[in-house]
Amino acid sequence: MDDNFTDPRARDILAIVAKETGVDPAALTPNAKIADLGIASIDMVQSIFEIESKFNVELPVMADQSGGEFETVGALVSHVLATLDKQPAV
Amino acid sequence: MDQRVAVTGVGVICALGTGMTAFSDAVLAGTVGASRLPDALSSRMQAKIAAQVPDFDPAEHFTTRQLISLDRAAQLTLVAAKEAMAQAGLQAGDVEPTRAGVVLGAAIGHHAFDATYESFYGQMSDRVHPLTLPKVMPSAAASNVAMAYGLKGPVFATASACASANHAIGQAFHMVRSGQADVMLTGGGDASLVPGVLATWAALRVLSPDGCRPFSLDRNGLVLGEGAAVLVLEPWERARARGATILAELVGFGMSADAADLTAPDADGASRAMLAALADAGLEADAVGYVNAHGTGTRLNDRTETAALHRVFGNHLPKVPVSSTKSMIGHCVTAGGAIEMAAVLAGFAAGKIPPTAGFSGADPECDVDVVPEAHRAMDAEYALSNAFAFGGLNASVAVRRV
Repeated sequence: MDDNFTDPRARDILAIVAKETGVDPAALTPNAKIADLGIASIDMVQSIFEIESKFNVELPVMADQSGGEFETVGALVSHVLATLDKQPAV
Repeated sequence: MDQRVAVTGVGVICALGTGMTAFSDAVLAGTVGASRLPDALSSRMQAKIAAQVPDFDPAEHFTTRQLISLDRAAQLTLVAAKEAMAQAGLQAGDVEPTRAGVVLGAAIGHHAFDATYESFYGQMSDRVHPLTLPKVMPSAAASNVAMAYGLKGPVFATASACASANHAIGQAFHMVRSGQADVMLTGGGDASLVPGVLATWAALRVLSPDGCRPFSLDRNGLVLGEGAAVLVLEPWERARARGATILAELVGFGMSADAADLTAPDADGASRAMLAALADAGLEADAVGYVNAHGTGTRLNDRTETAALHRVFGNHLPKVPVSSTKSMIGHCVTAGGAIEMAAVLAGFAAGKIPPTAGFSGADPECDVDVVPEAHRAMDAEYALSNAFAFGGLNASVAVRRV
């Protein structure tokens, strides 16, 4: 999971999360728990929306966890990158 | 034991201005708030005017983050609530949170609905902003006001179309009177001036192309408006004890339904709402010195309201000034009764009766003293404020000048 954070796209993802949630970017580490960071569900939903806009992608809802979809920052980044990697090249 | 109910704060924003000072000056001067809609809004409409809030820059009042989740109706409501709370001199901690609440007229997120549908159906976009739902829910303004001031008691919105704000004021009034709450914020906000909503009003053939002239012979419809007003209500003795300035006393609330027609008004239902408000206040009709009419400016409303006023006031009616401040404010739909109560309070404070602007000549079927064009000295101790909604839902509030 840590490797994902070296992906150049992760920087954009984390920048969006920091902007939309008001959380210090330095706190957005792979194992940081979304709940511990005090990120409200509404701000997470907003972050996902902006990430979708940035990458022009629809991020599938994690079926068994909708609502509190991601436990950690790393899980969110992994989900975004995995979705992007599955996309056919435009 | 019932408490007397004091109004200790009021805030307003509408076409006549932001804040009670500007609003009061304009509404007592007979200023008409209608203006031409931007072309983007009106190009496909025959009626091209509305009473729009001028120069409202949301960024002056809210952060970018707040605005993501606030539709215009909630924005306007929060601006009015801030003024009302400041005037009441209430700070966080002054009231037990669970003993304070909010009842507002339904504030549908029309701007978010309209933009979302335009994008989803018009542009065939597959994406909808995730905060659309919490923006459009009619209780969003009430929730946001409760969150802004940490009010944790009864919080909800009332839905009765154009009577929503009066029903809200009535519920909040009765809660304070019965001792269910120590502080209630009430009123409403409405922001409906978007193409999809304007088209629905136009389709009903009730919009005036050239101005709202309530009770005039040549009246030809209503002018939609937007805005918000919020009142702070609390028990009289509590307000006195903390040294608050008491602006007025709410004394009665009456409601009725026509159960007859979805759009046509009914003199029987309207008169029963007024009579119920008087009975609730323990007042005889001849104690009332001013009526703020529903007065939409449609052919049917004004003559029906006149007939209802005859039933309530009988021989006393010629002595009762009856004005429609919708002639200036526009028809602010679910917020109408709240802004009109602000107009009554402005009149109380200044000792002047707000006029009916744009009056262009008497209609024999509307034989009431409409206080045409210019304000008049107010000698009323008691006033009634009417709201009669589509669907036959009527609500009248009785208020005492202090």
